[in-house]
Amino acid sequence: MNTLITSRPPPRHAGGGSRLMAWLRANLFSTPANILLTVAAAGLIYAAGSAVFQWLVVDAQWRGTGPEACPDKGAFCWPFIRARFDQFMYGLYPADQRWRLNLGVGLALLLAVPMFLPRFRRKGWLALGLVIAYPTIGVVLFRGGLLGLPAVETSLWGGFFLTIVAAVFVLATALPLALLLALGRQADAPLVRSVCALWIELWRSVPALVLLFVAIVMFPLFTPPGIEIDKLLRALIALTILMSSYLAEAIRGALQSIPKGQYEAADALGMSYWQRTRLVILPQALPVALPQITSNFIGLFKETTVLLIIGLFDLLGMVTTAASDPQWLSVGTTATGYVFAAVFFWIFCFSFSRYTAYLERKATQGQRQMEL
Amino acid sequence: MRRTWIYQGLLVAAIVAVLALIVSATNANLARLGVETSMDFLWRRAGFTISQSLIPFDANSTIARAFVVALLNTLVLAAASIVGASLLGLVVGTARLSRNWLVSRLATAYVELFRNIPSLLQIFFWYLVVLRSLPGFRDSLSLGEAVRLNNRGLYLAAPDIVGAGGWIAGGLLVAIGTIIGLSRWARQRRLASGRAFPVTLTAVGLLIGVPWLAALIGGAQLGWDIPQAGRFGFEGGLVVMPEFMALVAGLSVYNATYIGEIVRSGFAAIPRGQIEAADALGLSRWLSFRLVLFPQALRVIIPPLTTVYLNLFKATSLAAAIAYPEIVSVFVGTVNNLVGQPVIIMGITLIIYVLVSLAIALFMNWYNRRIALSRA
Amino acid sequence: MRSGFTWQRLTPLALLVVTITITMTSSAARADTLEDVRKRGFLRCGLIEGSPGYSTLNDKGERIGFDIDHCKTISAAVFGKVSIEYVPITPNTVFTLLQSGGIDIFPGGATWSFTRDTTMGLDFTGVYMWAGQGFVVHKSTAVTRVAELDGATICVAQGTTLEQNLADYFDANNLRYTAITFADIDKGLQAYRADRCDAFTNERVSTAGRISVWPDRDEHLILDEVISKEPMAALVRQGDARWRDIALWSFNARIAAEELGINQANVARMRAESANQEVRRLLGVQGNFGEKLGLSNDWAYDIIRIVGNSEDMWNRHFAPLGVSRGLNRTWRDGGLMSALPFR
Repeated sequence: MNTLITSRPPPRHAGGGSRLMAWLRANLFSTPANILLTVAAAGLIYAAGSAVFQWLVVDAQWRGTGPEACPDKGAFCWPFIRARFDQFMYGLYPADQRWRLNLGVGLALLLAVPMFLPRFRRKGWLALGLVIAYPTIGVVLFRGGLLGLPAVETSLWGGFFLTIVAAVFVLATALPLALLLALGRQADAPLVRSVCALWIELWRSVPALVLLFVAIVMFPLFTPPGIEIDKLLRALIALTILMSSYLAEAIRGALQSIPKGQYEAADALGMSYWQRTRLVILPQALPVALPQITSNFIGLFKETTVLLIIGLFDLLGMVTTAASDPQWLSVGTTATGYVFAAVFFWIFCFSFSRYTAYLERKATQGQRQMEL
Repeated sequence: MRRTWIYQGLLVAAIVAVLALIVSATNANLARLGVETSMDFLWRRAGFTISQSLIPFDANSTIARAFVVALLNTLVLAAASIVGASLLGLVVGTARLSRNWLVSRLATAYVELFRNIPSLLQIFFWYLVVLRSLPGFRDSLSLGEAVRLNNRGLYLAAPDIVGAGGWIAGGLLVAIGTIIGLSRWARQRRLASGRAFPVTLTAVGLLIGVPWLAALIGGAQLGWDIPQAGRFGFEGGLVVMPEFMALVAGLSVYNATYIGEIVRSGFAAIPRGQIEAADALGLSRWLSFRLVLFPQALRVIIPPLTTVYLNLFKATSLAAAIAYPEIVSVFVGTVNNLVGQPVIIMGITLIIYVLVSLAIALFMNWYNRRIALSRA
Repeated sequence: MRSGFTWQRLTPLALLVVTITITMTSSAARADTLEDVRKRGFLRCGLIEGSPGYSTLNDKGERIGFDIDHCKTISAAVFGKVSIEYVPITPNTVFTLLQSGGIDIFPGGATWSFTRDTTMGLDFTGVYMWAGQGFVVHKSTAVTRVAELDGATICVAQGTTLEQNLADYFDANNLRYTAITFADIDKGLQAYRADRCDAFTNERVSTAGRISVWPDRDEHLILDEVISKEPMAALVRQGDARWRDIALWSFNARIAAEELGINQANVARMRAESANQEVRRLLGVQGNFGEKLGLSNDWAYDIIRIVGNSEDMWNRHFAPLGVSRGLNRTWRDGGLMSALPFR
């Protein structure tokens, strides 16, 4: 009698045992060197993890208010954060006017959400509207002095609010400038090319802090007397100049990735320079440049901490000043403040970097990976 | 065509006009305020001291010398941070590529964690939390008498080279020259006959031996400068300030995340075939890494690495936030307030940064061209 | 045919830019701070914040302090009321902000020195306080005299005469030290407190003020010795003689008031009743001293009314800290303060 032996699937792993054991053996314990590495890595994780756990959970002080609630001078002190949270978020903005900040930032988020939805069609128009209209709204709302809103001088702006305002303002102002610079660097006219290249290369060699000092201290000397510029504005102008160079390079890279055929086809259709740029080149280049632009934005977001050195207290600045209040001063509260600020920055920057990775994946979709 | 040139000329004219107006407005403002714009201040007596200087400096030295001290401090800080970040980055990058799941995940966690926290925050954390927590002078952590660590700094026993400086420098130059000649000769010998010469070992021996010999010939008294306990702290030896340590730690940890990613992408770009070919040739793991993998990865690594190094150099300006005496802190801070010549001081500072950035970029580009594939 | 950069759009823009800049500079450079301040409607006063006794915030969030009172003095003289924008600054930007016009006056603790007066485009406006550079040390170092600081690490604010005096004094007395410099006094003081340094050097009175709020103030000792005399005066920019006169005589008015027995409590009565010629000239009953400065004749009366005389000011800010007036008493009481005559 013939019986058909049905084929069975091949054994999934060599040597029998469960899947987990096999995976462990292959990935963690394959060679003696590997075993050593695994042990060392596990030891490191355990040491660091238990130290953090000890500090953050066991020794930490989570309840209570006021400096007396944290008797242990080296421990994590949550009452410190709770007491100063408003300052960290809003700076020295008058408490009764904070609704303006909430309104302004809420409005910005609401308007920005459609930018992240893939199906939304009018992204270009929305971006344009945001870049042009929102700064005006922002200035009126935050600065005040018009429409019955009391004026709040910029020296009172601070905390996370200042970080956001600075980053968004600089990005919005630097982008158009960067666009012009990138186009100029590729122009036919040699003088334009050299001027733009010189500008870009000059500002990329200078640290942000030095440029800020120049702006704060020397801008007033550059202008005829009687013309005064707000200190925050001076700092933001300096950062804008800096950012425009980095963004110009990002956009230039994207422009160079456009095949020459596109330029020639547009010329063959009889388009002028600006028509060609507006209708053919930019719509292709900007999506390619977007991942680089967002990653530059992340860098800008982190760079705003430099403002504290010139006396504009962003989130890090407010944490540093608060931690030096004689009533709270101790290693524990300082560490608490910085960990809090670090977590805050980390959440934002990490989310943005995930978004950047998503953009990069979308941009290279459909393209075959380059084979070396 | 002629029209284009006319318009270009007008653009340049407009730019020149704006610049000229800024210059004249500045001059007018300075004259109105009675500020004499001159470089004479550079030769004035400084009247202050600097907490760390590589060359002798005291309150009677000139301001120009203070500038040189600050510049040297900046360069030392940049060099130390570049070395630290590169080493750490190399470790992180190779760890990311490891087949050991735990190690590669750990490296990924490191990169994702420290890349998203601003570098100034990390520097503050190292300075105000980690280093401030070190014990005071009387409870210093010690390794015998040679190494002492406390909240005032790291004190190391150092060879006392007083009086032998010139001889040692001369000896170093001779050693470097010999090493260059030696490596050239060894290369030719290897190409001709296939025999290898232990160049690295010899070089290390020469670098240590020749200056030492020169110092002995010069009759210098060589001894050890051991940190001695004074009334307020340790004196003598090589002192590393906590500000310096915090900056190097903060900048290295932060930039190592970027270098780690660059190293990873460099090695990941090497086709598998190369590794297999090296195996087929019977090369050991170390040799295939050194002769096949690393040079190819280097080609991909160097361009983005240039950017990271330039950023590192610029980031040394953050030292102004924690009292380490580099250029921004000494020149733009102290000197500017003593002298009140912001235009000249800012100008000099900007020029220095541009020049050094240019030097770094030029060097990296030269190295890049040297290792590039000739037909790529 | 390749299209070039479209210059038709760019040229008008360039011409516009050129025209604007030419127009801007044709407005004459005026050095008339009084007019600027009047037109603006408020005084821009530079401040170093966070110094107990000199410049702090009270519970209601209002600014109080010795320096604040100086700002109020000038504001009272110009406007007859308090109309001030306070500009918080750090010591390393004071001089450039004054030079460039970012602030109108800096009353906050600058020492009158030759270099500052002659080469930095600044003018001083009369000594309002005699201070001295001193040291605060940890009691654990058992140091009681400056000479015992040989080999010590000392924290100091950068770019100040404090740094220079320290270098000069220690050099002249053959004492070694290591100076750790910080961008501002607060940072230096914190570093000292965290044991980064053995001693901190700063003006004695303001240091006493800052330490008075520390929970651990008993672990610190302020040495009696001073290594320099620091005549404190407010700063204005050079080139505006009238503004300098206003500032100088406004500060002088307070000392004169103390010498003449006028204080905040009795100024109204003195104006109405006093027969002393100098009192009458000062308070605007007779003569037109105010107008000669370009102010109203009530200028000094407003100052005393709003801020008080020099004794009122000291008692308001420094007496609570337990600091005695010492050299800051008037000459009749053995101090150095002496008013210039209102004749």
